[in-house]
Amino acid sequence: MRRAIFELCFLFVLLQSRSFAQTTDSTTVPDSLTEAITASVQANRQEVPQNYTFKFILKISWQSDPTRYEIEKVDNPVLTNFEIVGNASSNWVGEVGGVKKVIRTYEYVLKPQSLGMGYIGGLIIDYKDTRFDETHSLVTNRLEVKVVDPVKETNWTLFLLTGSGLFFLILLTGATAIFIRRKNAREAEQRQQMLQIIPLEETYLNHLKQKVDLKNPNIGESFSVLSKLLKRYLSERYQISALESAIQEIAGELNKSAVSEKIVAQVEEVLNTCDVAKFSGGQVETGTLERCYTLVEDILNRNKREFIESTN
Amino acid sequence: MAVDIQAINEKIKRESEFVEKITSEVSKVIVGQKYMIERLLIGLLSNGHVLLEGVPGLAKTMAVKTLSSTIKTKFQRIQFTPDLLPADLIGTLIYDQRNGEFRTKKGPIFSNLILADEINRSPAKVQSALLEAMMERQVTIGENTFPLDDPFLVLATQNPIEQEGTYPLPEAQIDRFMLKLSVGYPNKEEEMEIMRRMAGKPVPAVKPVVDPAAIISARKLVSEVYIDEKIERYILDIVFATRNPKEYGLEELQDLISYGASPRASIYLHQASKAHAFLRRRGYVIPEDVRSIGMDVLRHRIIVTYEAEAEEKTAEDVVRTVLNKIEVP
Repeated sequence: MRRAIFELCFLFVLLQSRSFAQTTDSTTVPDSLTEAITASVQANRQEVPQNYTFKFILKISWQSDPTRYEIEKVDNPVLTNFEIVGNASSNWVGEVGGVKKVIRTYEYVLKPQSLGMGYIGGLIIDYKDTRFDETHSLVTNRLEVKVVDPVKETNWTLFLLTGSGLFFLILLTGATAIFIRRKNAREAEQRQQMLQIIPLEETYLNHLKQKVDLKNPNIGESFSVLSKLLKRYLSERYQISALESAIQEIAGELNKSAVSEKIVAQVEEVLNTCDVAKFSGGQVETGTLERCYTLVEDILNRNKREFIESTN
Repeated sequence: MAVDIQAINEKIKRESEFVEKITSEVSKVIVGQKYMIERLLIGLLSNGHVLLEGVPGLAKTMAVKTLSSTIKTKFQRIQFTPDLLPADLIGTLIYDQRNGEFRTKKGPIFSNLILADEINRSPAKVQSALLEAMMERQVTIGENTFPLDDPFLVLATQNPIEQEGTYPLPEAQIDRFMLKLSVGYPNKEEEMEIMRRMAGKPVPAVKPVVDPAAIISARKLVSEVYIDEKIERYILDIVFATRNPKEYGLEELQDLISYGASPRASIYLHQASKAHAFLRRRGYVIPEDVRSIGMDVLRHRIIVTYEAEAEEKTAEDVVRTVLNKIEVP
């Protein structure tokens, strides 16, 4: 039993070494130990998909005078199930450790034809030994390469198109997201601004209560405060320069802003009365101040109500 | 200080009736141009001379002539030409061969209302003769000085185009006019009416409806119109803003103004605002009066810089900015 196992292992090692020889093979013609000419073949794949190509390389080398050997003939490889789609050759002469070396390389690009096994027949290389003026041949071993199912090739155009499409999709999504975000922010800001109008009227109603003293003995001062308060409110509410304008101009601006006729009339009445009180030098009754106060209060409340109704 | 505004108001209502009559008579001839007529009346009521500037054909001369026709006063129209001499205006001494003495021959300036037509067509010495009379209200011929009649009002016209061969009024002299009016074109409806009225028909006759005494009396009343200290401060703010715009938050005007309005501007703005209030039958001045007349009082008293000219900013633009930025009391 033990022997049988040993024999099997030996057989496996033997088979492996054979398989390796399929991809690399070499022939050496000894002349002297240092001046031998060798030829080796190599396939860069042991298995090749049907739609791929692979390289078959023949290397001839010797270490001596470069003119010692002349390669007279190198046949094309005899191929089974392969075809040659390209070839190239190169010659390298140089020194390695003070010894001259020549390497000639013949490279073939092969393409499989059908599924199954493919073979590269042994090559015969005729060369001449110039020292002895003799002609000899080198023969390489046959190599086998398995042709397997074709693999799917990467479609770069499709890849690029898909990539670009995806990129633009991402870009578009991003832009849309930014747009929606900004729109939402703008709407929120507008909502916030609209909401702020309510506090504007409320603020001025509070100012009216706090700043305009109906019992102030200097009634002219109360009229002055009231008129300034109204003008300031109009400036903020309708974006007009009421503080720097005359009454007619303010009324004109309010009419342009489509303010209701009643409010414009009330504004005119208040401001005209305030002007009389402020600039006529005469005494004005407290009742007049109270009426103006009520009118301003009414304007503020009316605008507040209108705004709430419009937002609802 | 309590002011009897009620009494002033009633007085004004009573004594300003002639204004209605004048405007009614003037409107028989002049269509539209309410702004110009009102300013002429302001000049008349506040004893200030008026300079009218506008392109030809805007009825400047006709308006002045018609206004003069409504007042029972002496009226003279003097056409200023390049060859006019001061003597042609104020008069001269004439040698009387019969008694061997010089006799004074008074010129057309001895009148109540003077229409100095195209004032910029005469040389500086003639303009000076007129402007001296305007300020001093008296004329010296030889060794004798003659006071001018009251009312004495100069209404001058000038044309902003055709500057060739003209003698522009120097700033110091133009400052003596209380108002400088910029007369504009009539609107479509007004021009239609002008076209219909003037198409081959004779100019309607205008009858005198007011005597000089009424004007003088109205002037006294105008001076009684109440002007509150707040309004006076507002006037000062406007005038000072043309001198030191930075102090009033008008930095943009700092480099545009070479010389601001003179104290004469404050005086005239004060007077003209009162006259404006009077025309509105009001016994007190409100900011609206100041704003309304401000441009006409200030536009010829501000000298703009080269920078302003380069930026095509005029004195009117400066005044407009000042009036729109100074807070009303």
